[in-house]
Amino acid sequence: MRVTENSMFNQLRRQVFRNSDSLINAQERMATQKRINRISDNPVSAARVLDLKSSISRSKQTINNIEHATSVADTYDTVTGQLSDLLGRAKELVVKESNEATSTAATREAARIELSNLTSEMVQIANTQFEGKYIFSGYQTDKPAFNDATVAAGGAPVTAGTLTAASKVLDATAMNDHDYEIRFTAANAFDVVDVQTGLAVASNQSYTSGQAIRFGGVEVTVANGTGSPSAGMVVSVTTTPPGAYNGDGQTQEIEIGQGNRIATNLTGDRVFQGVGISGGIDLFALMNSINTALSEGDYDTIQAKLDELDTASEQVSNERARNGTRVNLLEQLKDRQSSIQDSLEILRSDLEDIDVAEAMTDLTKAQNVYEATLTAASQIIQPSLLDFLQ
Amino acid sequence: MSSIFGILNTGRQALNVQQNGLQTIGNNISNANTTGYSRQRTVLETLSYGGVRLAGIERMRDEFVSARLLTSNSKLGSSSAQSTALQQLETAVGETDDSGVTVSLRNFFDSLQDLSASPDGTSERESFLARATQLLASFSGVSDQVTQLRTQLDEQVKQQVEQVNTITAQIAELNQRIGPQSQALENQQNTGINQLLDQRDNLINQLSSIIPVRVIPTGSGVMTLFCGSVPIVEGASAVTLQLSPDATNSGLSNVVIDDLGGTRSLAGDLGEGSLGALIRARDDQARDVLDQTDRLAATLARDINSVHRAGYGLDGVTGRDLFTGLSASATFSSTNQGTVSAVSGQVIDESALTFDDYEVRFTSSTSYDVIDKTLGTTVSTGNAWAAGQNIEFGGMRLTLTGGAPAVGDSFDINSYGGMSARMDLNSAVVNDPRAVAAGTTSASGDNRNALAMIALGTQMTMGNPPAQTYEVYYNNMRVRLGTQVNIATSLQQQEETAQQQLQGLAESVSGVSLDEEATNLIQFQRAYEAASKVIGVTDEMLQTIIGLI
Repeated sequence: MRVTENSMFNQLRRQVFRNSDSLINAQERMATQKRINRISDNPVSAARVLDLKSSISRSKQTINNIEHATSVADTYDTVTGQLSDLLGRAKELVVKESNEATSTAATREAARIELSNLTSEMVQIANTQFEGKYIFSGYQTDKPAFNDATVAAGGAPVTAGTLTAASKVLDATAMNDHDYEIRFTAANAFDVVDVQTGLAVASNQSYTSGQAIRFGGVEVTVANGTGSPSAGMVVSVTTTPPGAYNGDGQTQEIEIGQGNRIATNLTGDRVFQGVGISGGIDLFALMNSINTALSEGDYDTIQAKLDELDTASEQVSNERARNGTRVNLLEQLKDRQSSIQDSLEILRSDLEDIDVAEAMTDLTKAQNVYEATLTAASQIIQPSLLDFLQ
Repeated sequence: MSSIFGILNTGRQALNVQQNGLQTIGNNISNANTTGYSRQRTVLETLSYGGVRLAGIERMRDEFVSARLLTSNSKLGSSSAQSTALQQLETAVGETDDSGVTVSLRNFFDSLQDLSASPDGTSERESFLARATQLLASFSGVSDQVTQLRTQLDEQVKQQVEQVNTITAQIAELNQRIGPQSQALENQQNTGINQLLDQRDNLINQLSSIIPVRVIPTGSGVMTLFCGSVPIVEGASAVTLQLSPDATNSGLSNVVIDDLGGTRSLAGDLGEGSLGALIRARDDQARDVLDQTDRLAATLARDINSVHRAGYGLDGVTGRDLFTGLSASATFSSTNQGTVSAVSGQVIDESALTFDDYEVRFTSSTSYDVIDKTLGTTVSTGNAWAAGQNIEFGGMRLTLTGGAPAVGDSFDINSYGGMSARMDLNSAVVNDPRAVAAGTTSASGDNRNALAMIALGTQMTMGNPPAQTYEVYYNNMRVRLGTQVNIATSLQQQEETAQQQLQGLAESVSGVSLDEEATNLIQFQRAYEAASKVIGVTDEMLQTIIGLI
């Protein structure tokens, strides 16, 4: 075959291009530390890598979710622990006062006041916030789960002007869930009637203008416009003891893996009111009734409430255990996800990442080949017949 | 019986002929690097009465290899144009670890997960909206790049059409010039015709890398060129390729030729060659990527919206969309015969949208069929139409204005085209992150709607029938494209090798070897010297004879 200078140079050019191309590819692999730099480098492996990356990313998010759920569950654990302790202290108090022989009106009153403080503490526990959210309110995370004690008073004026009634809670545990009416029988005398029972709490009390009226743990101050109260004027008072649930008892869920959901919250109605538990106990009502029994010296009731306190402790412990099971499950899931993620990473790395030693060898090889081509080229280009013709 | 003057004459002829040979060698050496130059060789002939004469100057060329080279050029032209275009396309949908549609989709759904963990968190809501914005940017990024690539390809199509027209005009002109001299060609007379033939072969070579060319000699040295079934050069006349903007294809140009008073598309005749490859890359591969990205964006918007509308924001408002931009676009072909001057599309029921391509075809001026072109099914037939009446199906409304359609007129409508560029976030939600409907009630801790949106991320909603998640659909498209790039690149290398081999073969016949020419140079020089010697000796002989007198 005739070999012309043109074909020689063309071939040389092609070889130089081909070798510099493989050199630049080897360099790219070395620089990015990846053997697949674009899908077309190896579509089959790249498709697997895309799938793996997708799974790895999902797994990471699942671990995020699990960690979030775990930190929430930890909060519930702490809080239910505090609640158990609180019920324990309440029981100690009640046990002491259940013994008619050693209990006196004075010790009962001291116990009642301490119990009253415990109830306030219980409200605080029930309204615990995690990251600014009330954790026992179900979906209503922007509302405190339980009301503290409240009182509201109001009524229609009899004479000109406006009837104003200011009210405040004096002793939350002395309150019941009843409505009252302050009925003025004269400008300087009034009765207080319990609307629910229809019984008079106080009768024919004397009244001086601006005087605070106290009953059932609350205090009401009445101002009747410009004049003084007159006979027939009625002030309605609504009292709510602590313990009314504001939440909705809904269970919050979060995804832990595709389509798998786990509940993250405990609801206040279940933990504090025993809703949905057979024989469940309303802790606030229990505290209130013990309180009443203590103030009335009703030892039968006090003793009966001891059993209920035990049941209540059990109820709280059960809820705490339920939460604990969740923590265990989350830990297991996290371990599993982590190991899944690790193995996925290994698979991905096998497909996508370079073996440094191999890549280095490839690079050196490509460099050598390139240099050899250039050396050979300079040798081939040299001679021509014209060199030998003188 | 020879005379002394006969010898002198023979010597003179020999001098002439060897000089001519030297000139041919000089010409070969000068053109050693000229593209398309075929090596020439002097053909010598003995005269019957003694002596030598120049029979002709032969153009060394293997016609068989040349013909194969044309096909190979076309194949290389299309494979290299295709692999370049596809590589650019792959870059457009390429991703890094923190940008691109795949990653943005993932981030979008991950941020929904975070939102479901803290549905009342302002930062979670803000971050969800930021991820949604990132997703929109990724969609429009792909759309921008692919649209830009299509425009570039269209520019290249225009340039190549111009090139083809220039080349075919030149070939036609050469045909005209070569024709009358063809007799000289047969007689192997050196009349500069070799140069014209080289020029024409070179032009045909160039042309063959742009369009497929079949060369048919039609006598008298004239070549007729066929591109597919179209004779683009016939004798001294060339067919001019024209560009016609296509309204149903974003106004990009179709290549057409005049035909019987009208025009006909050349698309079917452009098999191999870079022009056909550019058109296919523009209208098939690049458009597919764009259409699929649009479909993904549209489906995501439809699905997320339908869940989002059902939920409540923290502000207690329900029924709000998260994404905007779903709309129907209608086009019609310029080949329609009726008097309809404009069409418009509209979405009337978002949840009924299917994102298929539909065609409304009129079977009479008052009756139409609806065809789902994506599935290849007929949606409905024989629907009555009257002027001013809207055509409604699949959640869309098509309005024809300006007149009545004629039999056979068709109108295209779809509700996904351009979605990845058009898609946006509902401003009511952007302005107030509280409007993100994470719950099925307005309760601050209600995350049920967020969970429902998360579920969409792993649902099989894409494809016909639906069998892929959003991410898998998009990744599949990328892998498919990657495979195409991979195949196109190796095909290109293959064609390159094949073409180089053929070129080597052609070169071995037609190429100039300097070593060979140097040898020939010496050979002819020696013959020239010897012929001079003959004249010298004859001269001496003559002087001897003259001395006798």
